[in-house]
Amino acid sequence: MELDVNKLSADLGRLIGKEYVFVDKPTNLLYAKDVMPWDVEEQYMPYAVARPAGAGDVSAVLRYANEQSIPVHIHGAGTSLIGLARPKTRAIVLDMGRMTEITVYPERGYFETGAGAHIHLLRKELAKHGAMLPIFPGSEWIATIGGIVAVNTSAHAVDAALGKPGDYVLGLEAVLPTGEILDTGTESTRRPAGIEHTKLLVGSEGLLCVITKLRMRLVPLPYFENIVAYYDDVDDILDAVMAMYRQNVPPPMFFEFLDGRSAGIGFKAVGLADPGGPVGMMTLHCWSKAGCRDLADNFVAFLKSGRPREARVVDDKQEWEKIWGSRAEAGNYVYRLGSTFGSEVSPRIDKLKEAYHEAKAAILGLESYKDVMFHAFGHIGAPSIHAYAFVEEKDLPNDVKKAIMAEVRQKTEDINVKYGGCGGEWGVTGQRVPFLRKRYNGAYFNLLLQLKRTLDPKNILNRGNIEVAT
Amino acid sequence: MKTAEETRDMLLSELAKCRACRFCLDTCPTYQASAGLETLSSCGRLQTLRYLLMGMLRLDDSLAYILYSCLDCKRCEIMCKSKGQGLEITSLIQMGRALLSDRLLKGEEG
Amino acid sequence: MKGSRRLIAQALDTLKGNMERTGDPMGFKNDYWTAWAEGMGLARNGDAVLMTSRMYQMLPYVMKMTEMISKAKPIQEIEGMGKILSMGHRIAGEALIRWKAKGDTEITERGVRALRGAVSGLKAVGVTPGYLFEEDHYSGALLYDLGLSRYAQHQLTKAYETFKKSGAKEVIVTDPHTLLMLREVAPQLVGDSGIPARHYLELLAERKDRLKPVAPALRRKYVMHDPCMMARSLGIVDQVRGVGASLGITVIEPENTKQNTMCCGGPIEYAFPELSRGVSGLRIRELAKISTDILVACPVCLMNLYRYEKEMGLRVRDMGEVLYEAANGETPA
Repeated sequence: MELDVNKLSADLGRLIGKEYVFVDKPTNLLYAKDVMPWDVEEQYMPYAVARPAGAGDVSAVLRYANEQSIPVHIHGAGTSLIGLARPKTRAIVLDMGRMTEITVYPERGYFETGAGAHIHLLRKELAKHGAMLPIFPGSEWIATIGGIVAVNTSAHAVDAALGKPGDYVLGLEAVLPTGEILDTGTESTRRPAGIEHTKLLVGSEGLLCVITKLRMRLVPLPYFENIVAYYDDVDDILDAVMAMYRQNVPPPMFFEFLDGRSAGIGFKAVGLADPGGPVGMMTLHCWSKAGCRDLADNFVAFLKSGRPREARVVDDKQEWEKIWGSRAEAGNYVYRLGSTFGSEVSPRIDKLKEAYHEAKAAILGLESYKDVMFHAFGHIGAPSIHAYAFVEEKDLPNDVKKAIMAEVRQKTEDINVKYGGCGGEWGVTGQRVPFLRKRYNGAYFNLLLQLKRTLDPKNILNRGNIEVAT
Repeated sequence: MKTAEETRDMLLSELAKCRACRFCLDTCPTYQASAGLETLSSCGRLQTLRYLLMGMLRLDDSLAYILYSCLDCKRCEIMCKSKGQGLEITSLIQMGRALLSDRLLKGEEG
Repeated sequence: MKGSRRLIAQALDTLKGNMERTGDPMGFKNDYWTAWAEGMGLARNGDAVLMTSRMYQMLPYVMKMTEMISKAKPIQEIEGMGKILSMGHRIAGEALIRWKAKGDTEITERGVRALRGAVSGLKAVGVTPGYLFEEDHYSGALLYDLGLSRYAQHQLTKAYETFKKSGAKEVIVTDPHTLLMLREVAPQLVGDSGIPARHYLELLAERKDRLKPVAPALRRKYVMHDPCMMARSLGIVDQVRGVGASLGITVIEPENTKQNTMCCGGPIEYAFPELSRGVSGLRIRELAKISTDILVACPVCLMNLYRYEKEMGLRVRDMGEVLYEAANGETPA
């Protein structure tokens, strides 16, 4: 759709202030560039980037967009791993980056934050009040709280230990696609029961609303204990995870693993000796110091009932920093030295081993590219299998990258379908729409479309992230 | 000193390593001072330079502002290094400026 | 943003032209950079020679030019006016800027005190450097930053020739930008001169036991603002603190300190003063929360942060000025 960009700029400027509207190509391009490994294409270049101050501005932009039938795409941090952040059509990009104010109300038991606040800054602010932010994305240096709650991602944490971000949301300020502003939820620390809009909008992936402000419960900062376990075979770690659920062992908040290759790379990068096999890393939390140690000792005993070469609590802070840091280094390796195509498989827990091996076979048997390497690391205890296809080449053509991504996506999602999983980190729209359609029956997907059409009749918000016929 | 062609090729190869993860944004003083405008950040400058060299952007006012407003303070490099990428961001921007300065002095547009 | 391309093109053209005509980035013909050394009895050569690169001395003129550019911006945005202004600058520039800068005695004097303080400090630890006077060349730092590498190379070549001619075995610099040029950039552009360069604070830190504490009234608690170049690019962090401790001053660390220091905004002030002020404003507010006494160690930082003194009731001191006070007593407010 061709637009008079000067008119658009002037119109948006009147709505939110002209200094907060950008139509220059560099800005448009940058806000369309997400972490997907392919370049921004001309046909998807935004018309403009608008930087609203709050719900009022967002409402004004959305009303205008509806009047003019111009799509709007929400930009939090651009870190979605299923392409949610990349506009699929020419659109006005709505940058949430000005909504960053954080206010902590200890006497009310909650804090309020603009949706654009970055997780690491929010964490720092809450720590001043002895509170923990129970949300741990790998992208916390830039990920926004609005994006996290819009996807309701538990990221690196084990759901069974910490729950999901939405569990801590007491209320939202959100703007519907047609511009109405909603205030949902409660100011009490007791979340509402019943059919209540917070639950509808949390996890709605930017399809049903723009979250502008959040109210979340303050969670006291707990004690932590850390455990490392060295194994000879990945199957031994998989067995440990399955046994943990089967035996109802209290799960740690983090249960990470590196496969043998990743562990070698990661450990070497942090100056530790190659562990010579896969490694498990766990963090337990408790609001009692003695209780935390007790939990950790019990968990080590549980691990030892399996087949680790070694399992122990890590008391040395420096040693733990290195061990924990090896995860990031393993990730950095695959992202820095080539092209990486990831997946998220969260199977029914008793099928974890089958799912893992099928994911590995799928990656190694790709038709769109031969000579891929298989890496696996991540939040195995969640359970989450991140199976990566790694190509030692950065300069692949766009269409090759897209083909590899599509094949990795389709084959690993088939495993989610087969073993009753859905994923728990990345959301279910964007590149995962084919999975959504396959995993659930037609009524399920149609209900989603109906919801979308009801709240967004002109398909203005994040168009292309879910297929909707208008 | 490298030729313009060599510099351009080297830059494109290095700039391709930037994944636009945006972890460096909060470290950048101009990003902070502009209330979080991503274009005035380390990542914004690298991506802008890359797409300029690829031919998708022109050397216009916006581009000049973005690339010449870098403080060269290297705060971003500390974050990039800690995350395993280790891009020499300010050197890349300085090399980009070296290519552009010649064009600006010649009065080249576009 | 509007007019940025033309602004940068003109800045580059002006810089290039100034360097070609006079070898000075301001385009000035007479040696405004030597007056600070009057009466200090510095020899023109020696085993160690001082290179100021004119950085402190340029401060009043840089400030005035930035102000003028800022005011001229709306005119510059008019097509065609930019070229006329640029030519006008060449004809009337030096005289106009000198005249306008004349009133800025404060920053001029502060620059003089910083340099004289550096020399006092060196003398106190038993080092009496020579000074290059007219041959105290500009290092080309801004030229390199803006991509005019050929011109930076020319400056560094001149500097090398001067060092060799002077018989110096070591060069002592008074600002981190110049040190970075000599230590990191020059080897790439010109090769190794064989004559090492050090920041005067590195030298003082080595011999800090010879420094005497300042008068009790001057033993202030300063919050430290590490210059970016110094801390991150050159790794010179502990030296300032060591020297400070020997002088009897207390250095308090802000949250963003040492390798994590925040920029003062200086490097873009010439072209984008609004954005530069945004950056310096963030930093000064962070520092002012901790102490009203702020310690810097770079002329660019001094220029960008001292302008908040009156507005916010602060005292910003360059380490050179602290050394000057150590030798000469407190400077008036």
